[in-house]
Amino acid sequence: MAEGRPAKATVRDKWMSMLENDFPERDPNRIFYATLAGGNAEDIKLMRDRGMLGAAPNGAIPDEDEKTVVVIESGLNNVAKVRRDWPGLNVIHSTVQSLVGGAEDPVSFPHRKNRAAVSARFINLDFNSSLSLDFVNGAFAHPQLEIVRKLAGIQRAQNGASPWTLFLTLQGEIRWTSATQVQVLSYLNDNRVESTAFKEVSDRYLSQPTRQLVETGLGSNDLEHLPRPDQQRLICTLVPKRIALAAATLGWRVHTRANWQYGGANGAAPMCTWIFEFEYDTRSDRNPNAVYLDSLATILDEGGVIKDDGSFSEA
Amino acid sequence: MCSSDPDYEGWAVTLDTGLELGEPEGVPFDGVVTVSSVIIDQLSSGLYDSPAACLKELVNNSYDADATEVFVTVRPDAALLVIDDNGTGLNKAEFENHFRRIARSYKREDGDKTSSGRPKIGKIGIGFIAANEICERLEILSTKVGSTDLLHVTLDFQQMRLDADQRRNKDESVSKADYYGAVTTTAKKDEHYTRIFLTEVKEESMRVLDGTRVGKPDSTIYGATLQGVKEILERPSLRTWGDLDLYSKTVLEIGLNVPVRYHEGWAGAHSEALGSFTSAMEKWNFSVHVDGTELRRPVLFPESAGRSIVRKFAIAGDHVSATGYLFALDHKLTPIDLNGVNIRIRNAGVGGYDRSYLDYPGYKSPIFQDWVSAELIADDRLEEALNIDRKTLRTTHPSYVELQSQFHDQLDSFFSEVRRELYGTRSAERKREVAQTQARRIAEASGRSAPSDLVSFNLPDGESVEITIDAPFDLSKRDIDSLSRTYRPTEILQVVKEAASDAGLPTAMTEALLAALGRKFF
Repeated sequence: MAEGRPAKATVRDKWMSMLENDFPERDPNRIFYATLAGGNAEDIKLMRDRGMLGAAPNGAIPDEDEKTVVVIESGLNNVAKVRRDWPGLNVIHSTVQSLVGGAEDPVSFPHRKNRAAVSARFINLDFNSSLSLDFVNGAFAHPQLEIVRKLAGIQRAQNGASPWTLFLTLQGEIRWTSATQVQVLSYLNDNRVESTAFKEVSDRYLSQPTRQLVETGLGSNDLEHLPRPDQQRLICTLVPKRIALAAATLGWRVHTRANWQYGGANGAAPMCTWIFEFEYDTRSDRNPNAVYLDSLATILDEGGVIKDDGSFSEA
Repeated sequence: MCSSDPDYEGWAVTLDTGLELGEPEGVPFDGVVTVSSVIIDQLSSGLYDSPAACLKELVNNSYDADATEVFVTVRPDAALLVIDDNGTGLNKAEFENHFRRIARSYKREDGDKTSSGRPKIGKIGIGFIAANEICERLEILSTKVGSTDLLHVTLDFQQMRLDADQRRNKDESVSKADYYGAVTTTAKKDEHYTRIFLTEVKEESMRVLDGTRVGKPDSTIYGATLQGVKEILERPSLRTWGDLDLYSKTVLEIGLNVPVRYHEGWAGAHSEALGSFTSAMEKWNFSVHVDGTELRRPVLFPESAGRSIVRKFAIAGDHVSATGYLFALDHKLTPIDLNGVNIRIRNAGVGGYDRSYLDYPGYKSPIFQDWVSAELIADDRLEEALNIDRKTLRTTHPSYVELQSQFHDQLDSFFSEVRRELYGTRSAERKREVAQTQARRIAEASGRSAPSDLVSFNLPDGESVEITIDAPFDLSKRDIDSLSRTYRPTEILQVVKEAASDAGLPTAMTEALLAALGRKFF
């Protein structure tokens, strides 16, 4: 189980450190942490271990911690398990895309009672699915990243310029159609040509075979045949770039505080995980491109690989 | 997958079985619940008057499924209620049979006891439908041991409330089913459970179940341990369950109506005498946890050796049999919710405590309505008198009439015993205390010339008392009123006369004192 793997433990430790740093200064009127915790609710356990969640005499969540954490869970069995293991915990039975009012609909806002959860100070989208990506009508469609875009909009509307942080995890496998793979290669190459900043970043991070594919644009299914670490690196390059772009149009400058890959061997799924800090940038009204470029410049600053034993090495 | 939208395929959050709200996978099915119009009428007119009444139906369903543990979660905001049991589970055929036959005694077709020997509480299969009162939608996940079939059904109460005509398409097909679901083969073979999810909970029910967090910080049982709950219920200051928040009151009401154990030492000084009632509930091995707190039968009597009486009794009539007990305290019994009689049929409570003691004659009942608590465990014949709400009984039914009559006989006899053994003693003690006080006052009045400071008085009930004279005569109006209420004038004068004599007052002074007293009193 991924829950028990040292690599995942390292990721969780990083999450907890981020939460702990902000916990003393938290806004009592804002949900502090919203998470797709899963049935085992490992991060909830850690929060209690680290003193961020209290316990009533019977172990239930005390009333005063009502706004500390919200679990978003769509699986019925997991809902039952989390509710049973953590009495009093705020568990919202929903998919996150429903919670944000439909990821693809930019004007649909979340239901009033759900707004608090999706405008939490920290949001953890710990997906265990791979990046869904398609190329439709001349544009990329990536539902998970649309959720991030929607969250950025909701945060802006709900909390103004207050910063927020996103933990995002996806499987690092490429499972896109051939046509989409071609478009990805073309997109990355175009951006390398147009943006020196991105060229520097991608040249430093992508493997040599990947760079070659990007530059030549050859082969329709070649990306999915790349070694798993190379696939992870490509996703680790593409995702922060797309998020930086989407966020800039909504006024957010993104600081990538972690851009890590782990797993992929010994039966563990290859994973990519990121920590993005969103800070409102007043330049966005006039010059969103400047905000985007600033965000882009940091996407690999904290890049690295977590080995199976949980140790970390920089990219 | 969480959505049928093809764009979402491959990335949806699939953290466990992938079973998600409203869109079950697997072999689909749907259907219409066939319920008699009478039942529908009653449902729509508010058959269950509280969330507790609805939830106890679902918990009792778990009991009937031979569950040994049920986990009910309500907090933090009651927007989602979960009832999760380890019972035998339901399969598709059983579910469909259940809803096809509501109100037709389906549940006992295969016997009136469960596999483990529990008398089945449910009779007409209305438990699930009861949830209609507190939410718009109910989802069930259930599996049986030895099978990988996982049943996932959703009951749509909003649809169910519509007339059939409103739900019918032009081609006469039903536009939307009352329930819809699917069976997948994702369950583990060794698992057996039923998990019920009440969603779209109505605002009013949420307000009650959530408890609105009003009152003092310690006015809730939320978060308390079993011992903590016991301590809260034993507080002398707890006048009524209503002093607690709505959440607590609801949970306690559920506890009174489901077959859970009593608290340790619930009967105080009478624990041994009432041990058979304790063991009768333990026998069923049924535990319910609400938000992490184990639920027990919320009946707790104070430790009151010498100040309370208990009587066990049995009723054996032509139409009904019952066992029970009566508990009396020589003080007001609190919380007042325990005053009255609580009836149980097949281990499940019939509503709360009936403070009329089954309509005990009005001229008698006020005498003891706040210091007597009783439980009656009736046999199955009383079930025929049970109304569909499971909290009231048809008062004209022969079994009820007979139970009522024999219970009232028990009350008559018990009350005499209480008056004699408890209140009689207390009355004599009180009378003696009052007499001593009054005699002391009188002695104080006459003590100015007493040769001795130790005076003996003969009291009206034949007892004597010695007091020390050490204060001047000073009877206030209040003293006089009190004396007048306690004794007849002639008794007062007699006491004074004897006291004066014992104190060695001269005759003239005694007569003067009596005259003065006479003017004051009469």
